[in-house]
Amino acid sequence: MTSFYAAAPEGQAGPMSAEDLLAAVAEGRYPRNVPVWWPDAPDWVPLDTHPELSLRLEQAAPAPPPGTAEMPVPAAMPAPAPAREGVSDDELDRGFAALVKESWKHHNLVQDTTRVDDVLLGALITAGLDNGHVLIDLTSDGTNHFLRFEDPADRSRLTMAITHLTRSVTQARTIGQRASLVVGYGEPIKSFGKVLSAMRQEAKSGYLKRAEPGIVSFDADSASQYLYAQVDLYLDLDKYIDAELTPDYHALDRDVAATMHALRKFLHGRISD
Amino acid sequence: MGILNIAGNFKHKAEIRESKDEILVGEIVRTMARQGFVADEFAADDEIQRVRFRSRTDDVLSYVHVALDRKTGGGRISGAIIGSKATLSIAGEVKNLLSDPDDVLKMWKADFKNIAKLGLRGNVKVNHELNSVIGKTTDLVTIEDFILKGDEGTGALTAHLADRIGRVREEVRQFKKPVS
Repeated sequence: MTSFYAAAPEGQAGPMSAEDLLAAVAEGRYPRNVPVWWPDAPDWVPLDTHPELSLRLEQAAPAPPPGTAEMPVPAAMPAPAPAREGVSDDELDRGFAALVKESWKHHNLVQDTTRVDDVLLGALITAGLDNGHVLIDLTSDGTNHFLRFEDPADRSRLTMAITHLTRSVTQARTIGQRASLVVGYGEPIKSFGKVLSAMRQEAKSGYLKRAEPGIVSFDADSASQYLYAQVDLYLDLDKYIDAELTPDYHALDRDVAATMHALRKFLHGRISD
Repeated sequence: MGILNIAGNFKHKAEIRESKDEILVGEIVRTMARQGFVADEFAADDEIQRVRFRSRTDDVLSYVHVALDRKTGGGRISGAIIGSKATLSIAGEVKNLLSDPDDVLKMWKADFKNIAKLGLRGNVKVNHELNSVIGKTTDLVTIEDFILKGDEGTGALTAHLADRIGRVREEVRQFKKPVS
């Protein structure tokens, strides 16, 4: 049974059954148009507009009892204010519409600024799939995004960690849209000894803590037994995504392919040592 | 991003079998891109994957929201017995530049007509949030019908998405206000 709440003149009341609510109206404790709410209702609504209860209200009490305090209803809508002298109604309406449109433009600018990294993510997925990969991991909290692809033909994997760096309009307009991107290229390694051997140099040095562009390092995913070569990059997103948020899939594809090619060479070089 | 941290951000799925929902999301993103919808919002974790797409050319819909909720069949045994099922929800959103209280009342009445609808298997349930009206439909799908099947899977996915987006578009078309 649905429970109702009423915003009665003396304060909010409820929960109560539909019968109790209708009885309260019949007894004159609540006006017929008392605002009511029930779970799942989008908002408070006047009781006498509720499709079911309004009918029961009519049947139970066709006319309001004398003396019932109804919600005040204006006798008539006030006449519209006259247009400004020398300016027609149409011109005022057009002026208001232009203000609303202009406001949407500013609103969309802010929205687009914060969403450009998501557009990049979608474009990377599209470009990856067009290259024969399948997406096997996707994690995103809105700012930090992680992708992993696999090529079903040779089981090589491509990972990407993307972080949007310019989330405000001021930042984006000052230096352009930027994101950090860590790209990894991995292959399955059967011998974990080989993985340890490949990573020995990193483990011995302080090299691991520096994440600057162009530093290629190696990382092992022991759960899936993959060895990755990875590199930190910074992307100029304006190069790949235009002001209308339309991605340039070809440019993205070309740069991802170049990075993957380089990392594959590094990985093969390290494994063969 | 510190070096050696990147692998820790993934779920370490050892086989493609464990990633079917992600594979499907990837295919959806690419299929939608081919239809002129650009992905512009992602929220993805172990439980559910949501992607919002925008269109600048659709005459009714401003956004399409796709949510994939993996239900069953992720493991080797359950996958073998019952297959990989997921609920795939598709919602089309009309965004009006201007709304007023009369709109809200009109839309609330529409919502009430829809209150008993579940929006399943192609039926569309309409809801609203001030200047947005959203028509949504949900299907229980078999993921293998759409992935790792080459053109056949891509064709089936394209047809499914086109059909469901078409249905929600027609259901919410009445709420689209002309741009003055």
